[in-house]
Amino acid sequence: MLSPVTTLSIDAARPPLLSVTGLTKDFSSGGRLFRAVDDISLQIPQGGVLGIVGESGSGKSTVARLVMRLIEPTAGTILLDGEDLSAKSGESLRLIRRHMQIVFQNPHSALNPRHTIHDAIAEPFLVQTTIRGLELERRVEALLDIVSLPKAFKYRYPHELSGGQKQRICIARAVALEPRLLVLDEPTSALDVSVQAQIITFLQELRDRLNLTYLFISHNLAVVRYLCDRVIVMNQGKMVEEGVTDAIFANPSNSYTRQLIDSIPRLPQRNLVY
Amino acid sequence: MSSIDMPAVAPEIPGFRERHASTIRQWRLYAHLFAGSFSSMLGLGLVVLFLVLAIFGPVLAPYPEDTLGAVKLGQRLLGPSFAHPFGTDEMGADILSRVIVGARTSLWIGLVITGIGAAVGVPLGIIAGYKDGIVRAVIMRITDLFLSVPGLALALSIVAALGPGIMNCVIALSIVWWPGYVRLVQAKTLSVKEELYVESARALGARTPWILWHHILPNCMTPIVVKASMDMGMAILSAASLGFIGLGAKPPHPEWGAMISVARTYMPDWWWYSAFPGLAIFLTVLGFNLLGDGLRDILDPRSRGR
Repeated sequence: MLSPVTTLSIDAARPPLLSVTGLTKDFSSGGRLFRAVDDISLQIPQGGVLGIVGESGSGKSTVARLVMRLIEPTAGTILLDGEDLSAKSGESLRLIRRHMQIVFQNPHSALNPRHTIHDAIAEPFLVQTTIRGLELERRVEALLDIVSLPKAFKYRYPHELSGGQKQRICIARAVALEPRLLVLDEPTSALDVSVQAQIITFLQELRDRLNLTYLFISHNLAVVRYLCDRVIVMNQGKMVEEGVTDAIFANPSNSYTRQLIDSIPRLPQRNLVY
Repeated sequence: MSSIDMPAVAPEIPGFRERHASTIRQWRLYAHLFAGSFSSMLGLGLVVLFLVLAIFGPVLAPYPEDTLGAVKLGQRLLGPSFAHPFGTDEMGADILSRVIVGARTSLWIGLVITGIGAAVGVPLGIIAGYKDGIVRAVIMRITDLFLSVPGLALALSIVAALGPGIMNCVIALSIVWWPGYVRLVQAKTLSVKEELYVESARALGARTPWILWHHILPNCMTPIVVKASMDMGMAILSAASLGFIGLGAKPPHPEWGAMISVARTYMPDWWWYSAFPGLAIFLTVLGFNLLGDGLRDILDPRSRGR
């Protein structure tokens, strides 16, 4: 069983690394507007881990894509280290992307099937830096080392790897440029349970090692409880509860949150009264 | 911020075989699957035969001078024999020699038409598929315009305007050939661009040309290769059709369509005159089609096992 970690003391004097205010996204389908994300505000301090939980369709993945500026917000501002991301476009947005990266839910489709693992890990350097040649090889090998995969994997194709190995490659790609913010969009939900624990432990180690800040999106409450300092609970695009992880798990104030927590499967308690 | 540690030793680059082991394995599998299909191998055999004739034609032809318009009135319209396996034509020229040398013209026509068609159509298709709005609308409406006119009829009017000749025939067919590639590649791009790895590349900050070249194009290659292979046959057939109605190659230039065109007045008594060039067209088109089918079967796993 995963055990909760003690929350980090948050340095109130420093401005948060990520600060989102009033984030809203409307999708139109068949002429009708559908509000997928409704007035979400959140802050993550440097080095912190914020979890977003909610059931499928609650808009949590849309928040991830909005924060990454992969889709355009309808309203709201996104500040990364004080810089307004929502005002950026074109080349200035492209350049700031190296400071924020995302790991997607499904590692099986997040890697180009025509590219070797080497190509996949080298891509961040090729698009964002001028690192080439032997130095590039060194970086690729160092990243494979960080995600604990053998160097020989460089010359393999994604279909020759397991789901957990592919997700490690995706993480290697995401941390290649040493981003400040890493958005994890249900990084383990497409993987086997045994591999899930491996990846979560690994993400925890990686955060300590590279001093990363996580926005962790999941519907797996046990994982959120283990990894996150603070949690946002989302339902139907709205934020229904926000607070320190332990406080929310111990004493949920919202009925929806209570439902979510009660739905965590538990082993039946054996009755020891004779 | 802590940095990713660099190993002190320089990375060693292994040999070619180790580096490309996966690729080699994949090609072995392709070769194995391809060799297991009789029709694919027949197609490959016919295409290879055609290529050999096209490349070494003038050396292989038993009477090379007959392909340049030699007149030997003493041996007009002889039937198939040991000296002339395919018979002779109304000028006394050896039909086998002319069919062999005609392969080069056909190969050249097929390559140029398919090449120009793909070179124009594939970039337009990728752009139309990746971009939304006005860019896509303009490209696709022009494509629809071309596709709504029967290709050969349009080519006919273009050749009629430019004047007959192989060069004009190739230009006309190239003009009508590219829209098919736009359609095919646009449809494929629409599905590939929704893939997570394209979004992942955007999140890395890759520029649009990078994404098109490294992610979209390689994943669109399978249908392009298959269509190009089949189009080689169709382009050769179309050029022969234009030659047949007298708008392509002119006699005495050895071109299969033009040969049949002259030979039709000698039917049915001197059947060999039109039958052998016709057989050459038939086998070439069949070969490229079977090859295309075979390539589709090995490159597209969903059609495998049928």
